[in-house]
Amino acid sequence: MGKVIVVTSGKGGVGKTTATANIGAGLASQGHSVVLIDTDIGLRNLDLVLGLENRIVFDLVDVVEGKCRSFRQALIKDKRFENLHILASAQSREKDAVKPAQMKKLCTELKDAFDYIILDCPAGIEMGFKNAIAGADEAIVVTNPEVSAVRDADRIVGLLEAAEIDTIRLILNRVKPGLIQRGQMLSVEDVQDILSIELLGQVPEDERIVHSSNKGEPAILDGKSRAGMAYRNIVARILDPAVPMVSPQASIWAKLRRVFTADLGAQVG
Amino acid sequence: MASVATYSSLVLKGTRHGLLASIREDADWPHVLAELARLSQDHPGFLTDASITFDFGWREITEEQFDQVITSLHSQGLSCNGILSTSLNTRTIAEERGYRAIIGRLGLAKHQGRRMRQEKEEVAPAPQASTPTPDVIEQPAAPAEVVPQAPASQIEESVEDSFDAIPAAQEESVETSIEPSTSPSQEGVHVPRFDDEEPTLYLRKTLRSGQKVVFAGNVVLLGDLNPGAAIEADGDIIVMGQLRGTVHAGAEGDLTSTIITSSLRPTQLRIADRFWQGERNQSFFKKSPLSGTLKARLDGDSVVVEALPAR
Ligand SMILES: Nc1ncnc2c1ncn2[C@@H]1O[C@H](COP(=O)(O)OP(=O)(O)OP(=O)(O)O)[C@@H](O)[C@H]1O
Ligand SMILES: [Mg+2]
Repeated sequence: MGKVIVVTSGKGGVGKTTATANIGAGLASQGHSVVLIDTDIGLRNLDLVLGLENRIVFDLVDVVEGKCRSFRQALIKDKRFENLHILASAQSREKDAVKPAQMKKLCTELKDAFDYIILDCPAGIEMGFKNAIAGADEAIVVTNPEVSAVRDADRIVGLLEAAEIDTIRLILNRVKPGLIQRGQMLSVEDVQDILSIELLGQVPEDERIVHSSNKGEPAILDGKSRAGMAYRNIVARILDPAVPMVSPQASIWAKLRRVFTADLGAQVG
Repeated sequence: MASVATYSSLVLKGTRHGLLASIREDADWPHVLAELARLSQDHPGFLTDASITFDFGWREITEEQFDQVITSLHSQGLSCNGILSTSLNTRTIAEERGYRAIIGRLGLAKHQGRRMRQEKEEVAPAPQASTPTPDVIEQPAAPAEVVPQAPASQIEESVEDSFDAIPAAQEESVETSIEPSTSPSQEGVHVPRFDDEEPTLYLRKTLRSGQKVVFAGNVVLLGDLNPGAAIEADGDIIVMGQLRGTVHAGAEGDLTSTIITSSLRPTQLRIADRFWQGERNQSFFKKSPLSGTLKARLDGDSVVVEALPAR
């Protein structure tokens, strides 16, 4: 029996789609069968990030409306990982084209056939969010180390708790260790202090992400990408919670600076 | 004089704003149903067409049990105004059936031996959480066994009175919108306010951004109040976790209301119609210079925050 995990954030643009694609590719590369569902109706882009746009025939709305014989017809198989499938969202429909009950039913069906069903949730807390969480067993909340993103994540956690989704884990994305050390960015501790949910992983700011998204290659495949490395750790921790978390390292300059300022502080104090 | 009906499984209270039935948390269910079934018979006349707010407290109510209550009420020409419950399941069951549900309990029908409320001046940080010793037990708000205790005529009056008051009371009264997903409006259950006793809402959870608790009484939060979350109480507010959201004590104008917490970095702090000016430049990165148990109160026109001496 598979597990349904919704990737959600409240605030837009924090990295849900990137996280979904990378976690999906990572789990599939470890031999697990995976379906990724883009629930962002009207703003489809999970297929783009994975470079599968040109192969979409049926989409999520077609499946729930019964336009295809079964969900299997609508699943696009990723050529790089035979275990990875995606169900694209409809580009030209409204959010309310799908109902929570339909999503729940679809998730139940998919659970019989796959190990992991990962739902890329749209930003916001309206219908699209309600659809995405309807069939979820677990949630991954993605946020950035910014006050407004954390505020929205907190709102989301409250709503997930109310929906009785008990396993809620956090990915802190676009971490810039140097800035944190200079006290210019919220630290992991600051974020966790507010959200008080389990931290699944931290993903550093990495310009190679943009490049890999544009190419349709998840960063997790990019051996040089620091974000890809972080996602490999996240995938390992999803599979085995005992795997320790890897934190992004600050550059050697930031470390030196910290040593320097700490020394100054000691003298002043 | 007509004999006063007694119940052992529930506490029935006529209040200024409506009728409240607190179901004893330890009473067995058949007994509760049996006593509910004779409500209108016990109070002929003034319990006609009444709408009752139920306080189920900690008790977990099943769908079947909830339906039994509603059926029993309807067969007596009564209705349900909404419920109070600390259980998410119970609240969900009520909400699914179109009844409003508020998180919390008033504790009128709880087990013996828990302290109801302390005087304002000696409020300890966790009055509800501490295990009381017999010498601190005050007179419970309502004797659990025999209620109503006032002569029937008096009850009658207060009940009638309260029904008149409902429409007007609705705006100024209690509302919670804990979950906007289930109750998109700010409107919540109308919880009666007592003339003789301010109820205390006890919450054990983290209030997260977007969650707001509005209560006609005191509020004790055992958990954090996060930025973007808010508590509005007619009485005192005690926050046992990090206070980072918005608090408004004495929201109906009670100038003696206080706010007690151990960690004060509020988004906004108000008592009655006054704002705490607080520390300037409160930044996310700075820890509050104040520490220990803190109490905010009105001193003349301004809100002052002082550390309570350690005991
Ligand atoms: N760790 C990172 N480092 C640098 N850029 C990143 C990182 N993660 C995501 N991005 C970039 O941020 C942008 C938004 O990411 P993404 O589309 O995954 O967010 P989203 O939460 O799905 O957005 P939406 O709410 O619009 O669906 C993209 O351009 C992506 O390449
Ligand atoms: Mg997206």
